[in-house]
Amino acid sequence: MKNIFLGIIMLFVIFPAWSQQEMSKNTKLVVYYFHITDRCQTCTKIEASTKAILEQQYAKQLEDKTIVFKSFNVDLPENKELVKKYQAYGATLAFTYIVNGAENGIEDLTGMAFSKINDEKVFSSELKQRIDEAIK
Amino acid sequence: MKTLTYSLILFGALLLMGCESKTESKKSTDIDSLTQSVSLAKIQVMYFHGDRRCPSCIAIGDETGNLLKANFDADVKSGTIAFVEINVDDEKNAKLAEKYQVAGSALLVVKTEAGKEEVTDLTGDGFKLAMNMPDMFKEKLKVTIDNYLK
Repeated sequence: MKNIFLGIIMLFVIFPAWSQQEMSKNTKLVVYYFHITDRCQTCTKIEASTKAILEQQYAKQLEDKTIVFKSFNVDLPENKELVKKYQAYGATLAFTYIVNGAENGIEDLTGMAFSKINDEKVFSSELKQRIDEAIK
Repeated sequence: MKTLTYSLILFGALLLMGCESKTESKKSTDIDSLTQSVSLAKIQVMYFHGDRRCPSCIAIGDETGNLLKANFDADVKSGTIAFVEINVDDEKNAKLAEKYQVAGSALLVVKTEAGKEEVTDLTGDGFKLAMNMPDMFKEKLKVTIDNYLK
């Protein structure tokens, strides 16, 4: 019983530390994409387009961790806490803005993503506008 | 005989032109009637989707329908609320999709009062919640509609 209790405590201690590992002192923007196990074409396209924009136009910022990108399967138990935090119970694109190492707001871009994804130009421009603002 | 042949050709051509212009006018009537019927209701719940719908997209449509039936049946029957499903891949809906800047799937709740439109975009909540947390999704949609009904 004592071991289970200690295990639960450790989980809560380890989880935030693990999350922080992805970031560095340079980090200004964290881009999280959440998806379910059984993914549709649109969901896959949103992740692929977001990744492509970041890799093609913000490669340097990805490398020095000014921007951090990560995707998560919401159906996996290890992602439960993050899912709860972002209310990401289905496909979700969320930008978390970081100032001096601390969170400075979360912007939910899921609606924009699903309603604009079929117009690559508009989707890309909406995304870039927010990225540029976050990392300036 | 020659005159008769020419007359027949001319008659045929006129008949064809008539049919074509009828089809054209029907096309524009379809767009106008859709826009008109949509804007007649005080609250329009507009559900945009493409030809190929994913499970989350289908869940948004289904749960929206469920909520309207369970909580707003009288308002739908009286015409205060209209549930409009719009296929953005259908050319005849291009105008509506452009008006609401939708190039994919979307769920919009539009309130029209004194000729002015107020739009609440619930697309994000739809994709995040409709499939795995339908009650949470329906609650958000209900609150939006309730506020617009006031």
